[in-house]
Amino acid sequence: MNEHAENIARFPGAAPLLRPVGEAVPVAERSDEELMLLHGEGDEAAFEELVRRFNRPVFNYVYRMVQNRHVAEELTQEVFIALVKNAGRYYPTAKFSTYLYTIASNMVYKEWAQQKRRPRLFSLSWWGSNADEDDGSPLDAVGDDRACVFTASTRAEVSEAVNEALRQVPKHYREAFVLKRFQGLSYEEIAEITDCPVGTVKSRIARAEQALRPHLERFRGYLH
Amino acid sequence: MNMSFDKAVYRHPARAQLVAHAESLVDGGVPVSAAVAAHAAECPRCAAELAAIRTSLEITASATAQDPNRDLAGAILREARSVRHARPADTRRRGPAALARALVLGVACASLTAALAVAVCSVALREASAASARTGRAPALAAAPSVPVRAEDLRRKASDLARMAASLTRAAAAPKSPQERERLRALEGAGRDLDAALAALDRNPGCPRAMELVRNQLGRQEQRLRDVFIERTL
Repeated sequence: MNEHAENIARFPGAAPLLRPVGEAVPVAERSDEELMLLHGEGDEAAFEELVRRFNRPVFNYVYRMVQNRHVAEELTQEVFIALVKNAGRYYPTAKFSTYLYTIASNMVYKEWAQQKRRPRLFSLSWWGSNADEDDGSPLDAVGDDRACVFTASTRAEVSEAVNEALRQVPKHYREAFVLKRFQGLSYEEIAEITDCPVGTVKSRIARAEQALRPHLERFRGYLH
Repeated sequence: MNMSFDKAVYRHPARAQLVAHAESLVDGGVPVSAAVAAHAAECPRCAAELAAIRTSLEITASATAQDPNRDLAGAILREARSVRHARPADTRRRGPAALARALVLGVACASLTAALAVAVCSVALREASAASARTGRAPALAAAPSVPVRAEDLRRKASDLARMAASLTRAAAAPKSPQERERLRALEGAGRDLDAALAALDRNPGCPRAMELVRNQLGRQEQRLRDVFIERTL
């Protein structure tokens, strides 16, 4: 039994049936937890696979929380750098995604705290940036099989409206809602990430929905 | 119509329950709450609320995920590589030499701390002794064992001192010098004070304050006796 197998056995909540890290299995077939352990051993390919799997979900989570593309990209990068710095300290006590989103959540709260202290200035980078380039064409938002201008435009409009509506939702409610509805995490995982009981998570999601509803009313017709 | 108040229709589910139920309907594949479903089937208010929640969730579900910059993954990997190279020594995977170095460093730190603590304590003790010498009072800890602590002991010592004082007074019926007279007068005064302190102790048996008073007076009486003796012998 290698060192990590012992570590895993020590924690009752560990992911079951982790293969020994030394076993010759392609990285693409390994679980997230195994990849993280391999990364702790210094395996760069494992880290690349983790980045490939999670850079988009983490970016989306951060983006929906901070509502700024550039900041979201920076924070996503910081999340993965934190993963590199703490690789040796990782134990698979819970799902890897929970661990990763906990780091991301901490980064987001740190950013909000810094935003509070920072003076509000007009950003010249926004002036110089091309909005079309930033958000991409509405057609980029759907797969080729559904490439219809009307659907794509509607979806882009809905996405924008949802993001705008999320901005109106209190941060704690927003976090629970985004993790549940957009990142697809379970109530238990969200409870672990946000460090609060499952009941609180449920009520936060319900409140977020209540706050979002008036902003989304006008899209009721687009659904059918 | 046979309707019991226990029936699900009378118990409106909480909003959080409705949202969880609506989520299960929107997402599919997730188990639907039978109790909430039964209630919503019979309660128009909850059915309407459920429909509204479901609509909100479906609208948010139709929002597309944002794609990060195409180079984000590459940028992360580049940054990670530079961080990894900047700190090649992983703290958890040290070799024996590094562990030995850490051990030596730890022992050195511990001994330094201990030496510092000893130095500080000795300086503090020295300061305390010097302070007590300056004020003319013996340190409490040093003086404590020589002083009797029981009332009987105090009385015995007081009677011994009184006998000694009486013998000295008898021997010096006529003082030879004004200094000696002065010393004898002080001795008598101290004797009176000691008697008063003993009387106070009799009135308040076991009183710590009275015992402390007697102890102090015994010290003074000893000092006066010593003064008279020195005056006579020198």
